[in-house]
Amino acid sequence: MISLFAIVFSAGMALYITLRAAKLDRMLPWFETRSMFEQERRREKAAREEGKYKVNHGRRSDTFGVRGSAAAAAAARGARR
Amino acid sequence: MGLSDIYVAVIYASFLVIGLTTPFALTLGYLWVDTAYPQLISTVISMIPSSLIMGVAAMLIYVVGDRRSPPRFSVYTALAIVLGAWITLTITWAELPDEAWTKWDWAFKTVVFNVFLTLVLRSRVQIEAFVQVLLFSASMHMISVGIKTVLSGSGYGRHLDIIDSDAGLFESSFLASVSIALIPIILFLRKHAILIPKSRIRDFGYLGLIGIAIFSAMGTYARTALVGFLVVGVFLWLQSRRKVLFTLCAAVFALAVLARTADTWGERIQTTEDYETEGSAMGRILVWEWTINYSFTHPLGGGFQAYLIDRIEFAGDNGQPGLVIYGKAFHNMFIEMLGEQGYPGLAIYVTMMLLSLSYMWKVRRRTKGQPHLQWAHDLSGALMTSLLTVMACGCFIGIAFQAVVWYLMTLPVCLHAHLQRVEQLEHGTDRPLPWMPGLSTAASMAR
Repeated sequence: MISLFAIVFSAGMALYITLRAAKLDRMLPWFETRSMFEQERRREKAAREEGKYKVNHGRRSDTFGVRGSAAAAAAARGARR
Repeated sequence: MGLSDIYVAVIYASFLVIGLTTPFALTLGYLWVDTAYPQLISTVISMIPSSLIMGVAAMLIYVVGDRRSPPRFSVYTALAIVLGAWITLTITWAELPDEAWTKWDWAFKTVVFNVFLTLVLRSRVQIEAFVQVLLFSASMHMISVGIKTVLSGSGYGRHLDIIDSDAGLFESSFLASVSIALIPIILFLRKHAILIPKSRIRDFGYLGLIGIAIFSAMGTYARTALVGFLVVGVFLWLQSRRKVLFTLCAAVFALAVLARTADTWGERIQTTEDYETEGSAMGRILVWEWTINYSFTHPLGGGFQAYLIDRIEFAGDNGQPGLVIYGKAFHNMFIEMLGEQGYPGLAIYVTMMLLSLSYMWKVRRRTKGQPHLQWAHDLSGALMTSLLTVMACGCFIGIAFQAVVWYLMTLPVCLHAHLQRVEQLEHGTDRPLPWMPGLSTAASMAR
């Protein structure tokens, strides 16, 4: 029973991590510079002040506090310039 | 065929399917196959060359569709390629060529895959995903041994892993070393992970994994675990900001674990003090002596599995003839390299380890006080502690070509390359890539 749990849990988590990584790797910038990081912080702060911290139409962001998907896409665009 | 067989097969197939749209998922799939060994626990997967399929698919799809932002060629990668060539060359003068080819088969695969890793792991998400999948793949072994130890207290010689095998992490001493080495990495993930949403469940989950890692290491009754605990304890204490609290927590936890595993663990560890009379410990010293003497006459090494020709003689009591043992394993990763790959092989291997440590040191130094790179700072510290722990444990077990050791050596190279590219973008010194004229890091990212 314990062995079965170990197999199910570890394989399931490995797949979950892979799925999340596949999704987030497209959303987040590959190489985050200080300016991108600070820009993101300012955006988060402004959103918090405006009471719009919860992005994605009221749902929590995909990265759960790391950054919202819209901001991430903007940051990624910035990195490519 | 049970449900677990089908479940494992579905997971394996899922990696292949995700890999069609996200190439680096195949690298994670290979890591899972190489660490959790689904081919040994599922009758469905055992029918196919699972590792070969996943490895070849990962490399092919990378070459075809995932060459965005390739890293610069590093000295570490060059040395890994040279070592791959050298371990192939030593087979030509191997003492036992047939046995040497058997080990070469998986050792060469480890070297090649680690060269590939330096190309494929580029972004923060990819590096973290690799670390997470490594942890959860290893956790299959850790959970099985750890929970059974908590429930039964374990005992020396009892096999608590999923199956009775000596492959990779199924081997008890290696499992103990890796379990302990993963503790700093779990602490890093608890603080910085972005792939698992931040929540109390995540926090408790990682803390629970630390407990399981400790019980898993204790449950193997491997004496190597004591060395591992000492090294990881010292380095975590040095990196800790609240040293008194850390010391108190460590002491309380150590007492709790010792109380649960009873006196037998203490008795087992005490055998290290009687190394002259204790067969296993004295045998190790004798085989190390034999290998050093062997290297004087065979400086280029005896090829893989050269230990099978050794002859170890224990001193007899009161003029009685001593016990003679043939083919005793090296029980030390550096002695293993010396005996099998000679001085050139050992020199390359140690240089790679030192390079890896130097990369981590550079990352730590250059990311200090930089909030956007705090994760890299903490990851380099965690990886350094993990690698040093495995190196210390490796002084008592022959794990020179075990994949997990190589992953801990290669991850810092990827982390260092990542930092270099962030710095290039920050300082505007993004130079053209030598093998892609006119294409810089930033430009290649946009492809």
